[in-house]
Amino acid sequence: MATVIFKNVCKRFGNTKVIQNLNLTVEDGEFVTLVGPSGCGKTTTLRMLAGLEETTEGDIYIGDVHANPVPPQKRGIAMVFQSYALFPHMTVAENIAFGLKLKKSPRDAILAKIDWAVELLNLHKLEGRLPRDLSGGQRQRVALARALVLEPKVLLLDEPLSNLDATLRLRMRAELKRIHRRLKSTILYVTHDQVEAMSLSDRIAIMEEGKLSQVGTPLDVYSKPDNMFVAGFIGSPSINLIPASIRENDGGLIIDLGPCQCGIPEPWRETCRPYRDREVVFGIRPEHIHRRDSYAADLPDINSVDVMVEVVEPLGDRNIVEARMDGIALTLVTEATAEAAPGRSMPVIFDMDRAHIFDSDTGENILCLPESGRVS
Amino acid sequence: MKKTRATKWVWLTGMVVMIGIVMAPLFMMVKYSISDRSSVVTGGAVIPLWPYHPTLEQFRALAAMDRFAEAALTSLEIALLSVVISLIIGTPAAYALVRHRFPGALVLATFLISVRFFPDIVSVIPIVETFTTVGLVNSVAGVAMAHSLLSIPYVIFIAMGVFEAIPRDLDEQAQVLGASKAYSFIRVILPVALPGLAAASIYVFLLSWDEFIFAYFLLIFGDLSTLPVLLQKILSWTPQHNLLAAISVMLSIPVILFTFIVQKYMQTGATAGAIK
Amino acid sequence: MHYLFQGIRKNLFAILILTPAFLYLAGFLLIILFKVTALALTEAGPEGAIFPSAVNFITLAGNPEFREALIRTVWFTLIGTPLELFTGIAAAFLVVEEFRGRGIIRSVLVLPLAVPAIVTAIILYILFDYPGGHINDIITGRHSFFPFQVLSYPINWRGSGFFALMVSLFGKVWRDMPISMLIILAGLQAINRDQLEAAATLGATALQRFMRITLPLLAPAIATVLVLRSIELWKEFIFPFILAGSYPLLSTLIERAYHEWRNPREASAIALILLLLIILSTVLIFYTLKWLRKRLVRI
Ligand SMILES: Nc1ncnc2c1ncn2[C@@H]1O[C@H](COP(=O)(O)OP(=O)(O)OP(=O)(O)O)[C@@H](O)[C@H]1O
Ligand SMILES: [Mg+2]
Repeated sequence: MATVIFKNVCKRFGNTKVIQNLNLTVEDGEFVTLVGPSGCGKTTTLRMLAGLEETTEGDIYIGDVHANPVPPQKRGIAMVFQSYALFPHMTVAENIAFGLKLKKSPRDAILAKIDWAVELLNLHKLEGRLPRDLSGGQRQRVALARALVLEPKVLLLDEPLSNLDATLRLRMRAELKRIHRRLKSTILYVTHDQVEAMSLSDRIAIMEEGKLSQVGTPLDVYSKPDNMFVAGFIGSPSINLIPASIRENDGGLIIDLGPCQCGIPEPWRETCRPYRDREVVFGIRPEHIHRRDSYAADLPDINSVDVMVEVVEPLGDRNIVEARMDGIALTLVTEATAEAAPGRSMPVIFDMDRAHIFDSDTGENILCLPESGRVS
Repeated sequence: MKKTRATKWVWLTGMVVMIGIVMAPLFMMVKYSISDRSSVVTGGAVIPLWPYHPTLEQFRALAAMDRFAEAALTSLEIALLSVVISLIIGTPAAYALVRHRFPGALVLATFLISVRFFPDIVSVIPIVETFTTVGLVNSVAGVAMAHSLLSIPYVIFIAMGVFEAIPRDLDEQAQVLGASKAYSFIRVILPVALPGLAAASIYVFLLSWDEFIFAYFLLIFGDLSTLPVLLQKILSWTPQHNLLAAISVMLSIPVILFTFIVQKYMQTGATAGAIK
Repeated sequence: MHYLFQGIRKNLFAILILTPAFLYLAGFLLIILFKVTALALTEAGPEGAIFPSAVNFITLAGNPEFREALIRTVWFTLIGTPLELFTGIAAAFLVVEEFRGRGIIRSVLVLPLAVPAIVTAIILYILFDYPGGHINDIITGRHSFFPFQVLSYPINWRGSGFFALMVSLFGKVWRDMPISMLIILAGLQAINRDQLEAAATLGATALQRFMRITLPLLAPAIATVLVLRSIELWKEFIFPFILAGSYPLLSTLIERAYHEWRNPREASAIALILLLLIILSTVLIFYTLKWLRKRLVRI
């Protein structure tokens, strides 16, 4: 177990900057997930930590050790590759024993470890098989077992579930969570799938083009996104982002979306006042737009508007509704029972306490800036 | 595109002619090797297309002939030694060229591989002269070293293809699990590469087994011979057609067999189950 | 300096395992080039060797045997290279389309490659024997299955420069046909059927399709065949050595100079000349093809 620290880490391939000034601390025993769009540098970050790629600048610490000059095999980390990279000429047991043999563990200890891993990952009766005779999920578990038996200080997982089908992915997700709770290892996890990230991690690190956009607990990055990119990346369906402007109105502040105006709640008025008469982006999650009749009627009427329903996607427990508000596209989530038919208009109301306002130049969340009221 | 009758006939004729030309010498080789004396030395009469009295006496004669056994053994020793030399030297180099893309790797690879285009007839005299001064003429080691010069570029070329087909993840995974570069190369990558390398070694074996020029120049004044050299020597002593054909058959059989085995071997997926 | 040192340390393993191959090949190549040049430029004077000296080349230039060998070699290559190409193309076109038993036929056509060259040479030696070889029997009409008398007397194949070299060439082309075939076949299979059919719908005749599409697309394969085969023909040794012993090419003249004349210096001079010829011809073919390719796809 160990703390991992990235300190001002940069990585360039030739002239392309792939990682820019990465600062990240992963606490001992913490499960941190890196998410971000394809090509943003997640794999590169893991590979630098594993020692498979050199840093161009900056330092990496594993435990209290400055890891930069340490070769991969001496870093005390284990990595599970997206492709699993099982050794095709070795049986499951031999694959699992590979790292232990290199450490010159005694034979009894190796056998005990294999048993332990087989138990943990439910690999009974597969020990003697070759990788080509395993299913995808089994291969994945063998890869995991091979890494876990080494009791690595840090476990690196690069999209370990991406080659599995949906059901298996859910099962393995639960499995991973269980294992982490049992072993309390430091885990750095990479995924494309934000649902996976939300459900597994202690903290999520969102990357964009080689930079960290935000690091925080799943709840934090969901409810307090630092910027437009994070807000757009986390949450499904995606947040609605609408160009708007802030205006003074009867001593209060309102945000003007064009077809409707919404009052800015009292606690944020001071934060928003400097943005008066400037272009901003209004962000509201689909699940925070409600049918007026289904919602507490005591909300100020000013936050409500009629929208035109265009598409309804029933998901069983709820419906995703694509609607239009005078030409502005809007996605919202309604209860399954709520009647909404394409072509009909529907009165909705914005839950302004959970809305976000972003600076349209920098993309930053005005309400989450350090001096604003929302940061606790 | 539609085939007309005429093109079909042209095709068929071409096919028959081509197969005839390819097979005729091979047929003749077999025919002569089982010919009795009266079918070869006809005293002016037409040589029969099939021997009057097919016989294996030439092969029996070969089996009793010390020179033949010695030459076959020498050929075998030289070929095996050159396989060992060229695999030991060529395989690691191929691995380095594929996995460590240091600046200039491509140029270096091109250079090493294109050594095989260097004309052997040009290099043979300097090599014989050099080997004479260091005592490598008339020796198995000398011929094997010369053959390795020809085969190392092939080993590098084939092995580079083999290593390229093995996912890089395997090496990196081994290193992350605690293996050094050398260990992961020897214990992980080499076993996976084995089928491909087996094909390469068969190829190299055949290259040496067939080779005439270096063997001839290096062995001509000694008493060692490889099979091709023995064949040439017998030709210059007593051009006895059926004996020559019998040696030819013995020399060709392993080559023809192995060529087909290699073809098959190449197709076995080396990395089945390694990824995905 | 520091960077160099670091680079070496980082790639130590790679450098370590590359060194033997590099030393072996580059070392041999250096020795060969050094030795062949040194020998070729050395004159064996009465009081020890004289270096450098062009005497070997001057002697060779005055030696009719060398001049004849040079001319024979040029003809051998000039005739042989296109011949190798055409047999390769012909064989490839025979097996490019799908038909029953294609796999077996293809294996049969690859057979010559699996027969050692010396064996092929020996077989041809037997078949083209004089006066009583199979070929002579056939052309004088002595076999019942071919009752046409092409000639009334047998040919002394090995006793005539022309015939001896033609037989050598036949052996060489026979043995190399599979290589050319496989290269051309790979090229042909890369050509998309759709392209040809598209051209047909655009009104191109069969000949035009061949000239305008197949040939330019096949150009890289053809170039490979021409370059590789011409190198092979320049230096061909076994077939002329066995079948045309009295009519040396440059390659067999090297052997004769070395073993019969006991003159390694002149042998090296011939080798050097041969090497230069090969390099020159390769460069020439390369540029000619580049130029031709441009002409073929011109609008
Ligand atoms: N060896 C390399 N040479 C040059 N560029 C590279 C190299 N490896 C990665 N890159 C580039 O670095 C960037 C980040 O790559 P990386 O593999 O870290 O992305 P990723 O976030 O893991 O993407 P994905 O989600 O698709 O796996 C990409 O733009 C990629 O093209
Ligand atoms: Mg990746």
